[in-house]
Amino acid sequence: MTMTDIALCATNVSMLYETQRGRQVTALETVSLEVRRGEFVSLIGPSGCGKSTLLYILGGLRGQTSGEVALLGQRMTGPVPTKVGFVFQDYTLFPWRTILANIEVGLEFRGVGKRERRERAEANLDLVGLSAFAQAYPGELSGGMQQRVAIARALAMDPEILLMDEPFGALDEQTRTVLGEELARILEQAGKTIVFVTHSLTEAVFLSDRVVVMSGRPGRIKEILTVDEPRPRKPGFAMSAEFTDTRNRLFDLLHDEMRAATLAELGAGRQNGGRRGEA
Amino acid sequence: MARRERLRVAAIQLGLAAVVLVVWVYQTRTGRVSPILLPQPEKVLAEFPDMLRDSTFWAGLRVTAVELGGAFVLATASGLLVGVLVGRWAAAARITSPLLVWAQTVPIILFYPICILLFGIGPMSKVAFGGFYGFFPVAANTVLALSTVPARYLTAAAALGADRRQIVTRVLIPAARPLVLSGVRLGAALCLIGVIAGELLGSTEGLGYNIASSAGGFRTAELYAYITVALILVAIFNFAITRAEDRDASG
Ligand SMILES: Nc1ncnc2c1ncn2[C@@H]1O[C@H](COP(=O)(O)OP(=O)(O)O)[C@@H](O)[C@H]1O
Ligand SMILES: [Mg+2]
Repeated sequence: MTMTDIALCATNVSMLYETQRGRQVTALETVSLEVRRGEFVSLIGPSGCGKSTLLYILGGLRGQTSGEVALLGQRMTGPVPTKVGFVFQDYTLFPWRTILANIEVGLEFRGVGKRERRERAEANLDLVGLSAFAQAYPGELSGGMQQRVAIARALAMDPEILLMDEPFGALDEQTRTVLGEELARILEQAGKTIVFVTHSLTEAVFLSDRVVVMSGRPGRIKEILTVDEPRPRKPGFAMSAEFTDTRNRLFDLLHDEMRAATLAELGAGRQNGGRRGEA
Repeated sequence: MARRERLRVAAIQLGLAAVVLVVWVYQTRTGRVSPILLPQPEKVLAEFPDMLRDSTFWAGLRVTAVELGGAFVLATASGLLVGVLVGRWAAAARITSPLLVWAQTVPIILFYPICILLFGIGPMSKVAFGGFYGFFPVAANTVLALSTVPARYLTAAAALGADRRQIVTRVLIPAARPLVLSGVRLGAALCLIGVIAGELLGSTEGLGYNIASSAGGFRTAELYAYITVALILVAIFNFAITRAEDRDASG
C-alpha cells in the first residue's frame, strides 16, 4: 500500500485540555488510526471519550498536544477545505443567509465566481432533496433538514474526505433512520472517504467498513471492528447474521465502556462532594 | 402578522388618536382648560403658516438637525469603536459589559452642566451631550453582540476556508448586526433626547430653545406647534432607523 492510499493517518495523537478552573483533562491518549481512501469509518464510544476532539484534530481544526496527523501523506497544519469537509453536531448554518447562500459560502470564501457557485450549490441542494427551500432561511427548516443542508454545504466544496460529527445526534430515532439511509445513498453517490461519529450502533454497523470503538478517560481506541459486507448495502443487510453478530459484539464492547465511564463519573462526583464538604 | 390583523391594529390606533383629539377639542371649547395651558387645536394649526414663514423657525430646525446629526455620528462612531475594541477581547468584555449596562441607568443629564463648562452654550455642548448620552447603548450592545457570537459559527467558517478578513466581514459582522443595530436605534433616540434637553436647559438657538422661549412668553399655541414639529422630527428619525433595521432582518 502506497502512502497516498491513506486519506488520513493519526500517529500517537494525544490531546490535553486545560479546563477553566486550570485542571487538565486528557481527552485523547496516544491514538493511532489510518483511514484509507474511499473508506467509511465510524467512531463510537461513551460520551466525553474524545470522539469530537479526534475528529477536529483529523480535520485540522484543533491542534493536538502531541503526535502527528497526515492528510494524504502530507503533515496536517490546519484546515484544508478543498480536501476535508465538515458536518458538525450542532447547527452551524448561518441564520442570516438563505439556504442556497449557506451552501455557497465556502465557494465564496474560495473566490469561486457567482455563476459557478450558484450552479454547484443548486446541484448539491438537489442531491439532499431540498431544492424547494433554496430561498428559505435556516430558522424555517427542521433540525433534520438543516443537517441535510449542512451536508450539502460540505459536499459543495467537493472535498475528498468528509468528517461528520453525530450529524443526526439531536434527532429522534425514526428521523435518524430515514436520514441514515438517505445519507448512505448520497455518500455512495459522491464516493467520499468518511469518518463518522455516531452513538447509534445500527448506524455504525450499517454504514461502515470499520467501526472504531473508543474508551473514555483518557480517550483511547479500544478495538476496531471490520464489517466485510460490500457497500452500498441493501436494507436486507440489517437482517443478516453478520449484521446482528457485529452489532452484538459492538454492544458488549460499549456496554463495558459505558459502565466504566458511568462508574468513573459517579466516583468523581463523590470526590468532588467530599472536597466541597471540607471547604 | 396577517394583513387583516395589521389593518385592525392601525384602525384602533387611529381611533385612539381621534379620541385624544375629541377630548382636546371638547375640553378647550367648553373653556374648562385655560388656553394658556392648552390652546384649541385649530389655534395650534393656525400657527403653522406663520411658523413656516418665520426664519427663526427654520434657523432653529437647522441648528437642531445639525446638532442631532453630529451627536448621532459621535455616539455611533465612538460606541462602535469602543464596542469593537472591547467586544473582541473576552476579558475586557466581561469587565466592561456590566459597567456599560449600569451606565445606562445613570441620569446622564447630571453631566450636562459639565458639557456647558467644557464646550460653551453653543451647539458644541449639545453635540457632545447628545453623543455622550447615545454612546452607551451603542457600545453596550456592540460588546454584547461581538462577545456572544457563537463559537460554532467561527469554527464552521474556518472549516469552510474563511480567512481572517472573511471571518470578520462574512461572520462576525452579520452575526452581530441585529443587536448592534438595535443599540444604534436606542442610541439615536437618546441623542435626540439629549440634544433637545440640552437646548431646553441652556442654549441660544435650536428647536429646544424656541420651545423654551415660547413657553417663557406664554405663547402657548406656538409652543404646541413647536412640540408637534419636534415629535414629527422624532418620528422621521425613528422611521429611518427602523427601516435600516427591517432591511437587515429580512436578509
Ligand atoms: N474546549 C475544551 N476545553 C476543555 N475541555 C474540553 C474541550 N473540549 C472537550 N473537552 C473535554 O474533553 C473530553 C472529550 O470531549 P469530546 O471530544 O467532546 O468528547 P465526545 O465527542 O466523545 O463526547 C471531555 O471530557 C470534554 O469535557
Ligand atoms: Mg462530541
